[in-house]
Amino acid sequence: MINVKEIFRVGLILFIIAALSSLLLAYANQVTAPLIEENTRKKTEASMSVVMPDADTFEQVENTSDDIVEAYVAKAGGETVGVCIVCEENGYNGAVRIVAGVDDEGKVTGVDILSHSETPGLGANAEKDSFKDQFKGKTADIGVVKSNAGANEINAISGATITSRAVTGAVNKAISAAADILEEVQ
Amino acid sequence: MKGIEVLKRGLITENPTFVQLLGMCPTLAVTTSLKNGLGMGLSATAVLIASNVIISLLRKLIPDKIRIAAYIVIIATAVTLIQMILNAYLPDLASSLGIFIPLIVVNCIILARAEAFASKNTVGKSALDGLGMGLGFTGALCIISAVREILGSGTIWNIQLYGDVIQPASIITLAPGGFIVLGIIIGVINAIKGRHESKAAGERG
Amino acid sequence: MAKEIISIIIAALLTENFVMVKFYGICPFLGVSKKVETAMGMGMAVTFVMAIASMITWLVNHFFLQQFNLEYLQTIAFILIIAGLVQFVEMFVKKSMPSLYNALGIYLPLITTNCAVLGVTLLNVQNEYNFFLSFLYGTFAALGFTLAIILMAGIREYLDEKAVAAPFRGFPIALITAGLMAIAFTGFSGFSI
Repeated sequence: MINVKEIFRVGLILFIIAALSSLLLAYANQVTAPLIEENTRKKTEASMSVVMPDADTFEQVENTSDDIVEAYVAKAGGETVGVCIVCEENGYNGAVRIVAGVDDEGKVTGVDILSHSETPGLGANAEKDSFKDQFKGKTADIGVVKSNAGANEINAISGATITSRAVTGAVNKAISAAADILEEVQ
Repeated sequence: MKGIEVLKRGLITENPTFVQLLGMCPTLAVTTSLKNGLGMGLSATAVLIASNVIISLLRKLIPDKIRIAAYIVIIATAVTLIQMILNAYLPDLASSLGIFIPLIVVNCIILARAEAFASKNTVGKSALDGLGMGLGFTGALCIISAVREILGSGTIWNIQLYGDVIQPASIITLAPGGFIVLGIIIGVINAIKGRHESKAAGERG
Repeated sequence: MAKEIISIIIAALLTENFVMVKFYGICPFLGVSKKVETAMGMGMAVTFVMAIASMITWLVNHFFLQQFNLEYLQTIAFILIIAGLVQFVEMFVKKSMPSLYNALGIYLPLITTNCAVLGVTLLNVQNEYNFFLSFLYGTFAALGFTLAIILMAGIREYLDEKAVAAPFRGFPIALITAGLMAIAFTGFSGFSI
């Protein structure tokens, strides 16, 4: 015979534990969420000055498509010199978030990795300048090859084709989004 | 049982990874570099101490029937807290451990300690047990990840060792290397233990 | 859409196999892979739970957590759903399919702490899959797990442990076997549509 009172008591205790846990987490979320946002913002800003060294200010603008996370118009002395796009693409172990700078002619001025979970020693090598600098000067629809990259191609990181494709895919998305934003601004 | 013994049990004699063979998923998945191994080990240790202490405090209040559900809620809360703290203060580590931070919830070491130790012992001892087991796990992760980083990337703590001279065997940092390195380490530990035990037996008889 | 479906199926089964490539569900993979029969039972139970858990967690996440900005409760909510689901499946199977219960009985409670289950629900959110794709990914990731565990059991049935050096018997040789299988699975990597 199942005791209704017993079930009620047991359920109530579990409910209290869950409720207290949720309260604690809600509080912790309130404390940490602004810190996390601040971290992300600082990191994005630092990376933007690396990928677009000519610019002195970055103004966030509205996203033109769902493909991208954030968009910034880069200005030097009040003149628009290009656009910085933050976007993501899935790599080997999860999302790879990058920021790409694109100048007013649609050329990539630089790429930086904001966050990733790729394998150290392999995919994580995407953080190295020797890989990232390959994107400089490239235009829309960049391709990925294993070696001997052609005009609008980059060499994949050895042993990490998936990561290389993810970064390149993200950069291509950024270039096409940048074109739309530049059109709107000018 | 004395406090020091509780500690030693977790670190060596009942090491959760090498002896009890628990928590294999993070052990294999995040040990691709020493930094990740240490980060995962310490995060799990923090969760283990917190969950052991809370469960030990509440051990008389939690009815037997729902104890597993209650433990899971407590562990998941601790894990989410750690996740928030890592995201706020160590964002790079948080992103490189990725999904394996929330997966600490289902690390069997934590539930096993809650069930086998914290639900039956005082708060102080449970905290020590959490510390011992956590550090045992961390130590094991550090050993495995150091081996994999040295052989697979030719670096240690991101410092270049020999990569320019010999091409490191990157398969060691990939999935197959994880299985094989762990298999060999446990085998070697068994061999050392076996020699130790037969020596002890020889001395006795 | 068709292309996306096929590429998810291939990734879940082979190129991103949960056990051999992503390291989810290693404990049951090593613990319950001594006989092909039990491995199949475990695989079936996990597939059932993962398929249903993918659907329920999607609904809860989409209609509740995201609506009220409660994403930070994701881990707790998902693991509670999984624990409850496993309990429910256990009761249901026990009552209506006693023969299946006898075959799976001891493995069912273990599924709660199988990180493949919580892992797939979190990956569904991370990959922003819709309801159908979550269900699809959950099902095929579980079938990938089943494939790996059955292959492993097939090898272990033939593995004569007496021929193995004593310190390597049991767990260590199983890990090394898994490593060799994983090398075979790396052959699929980069294969996509």
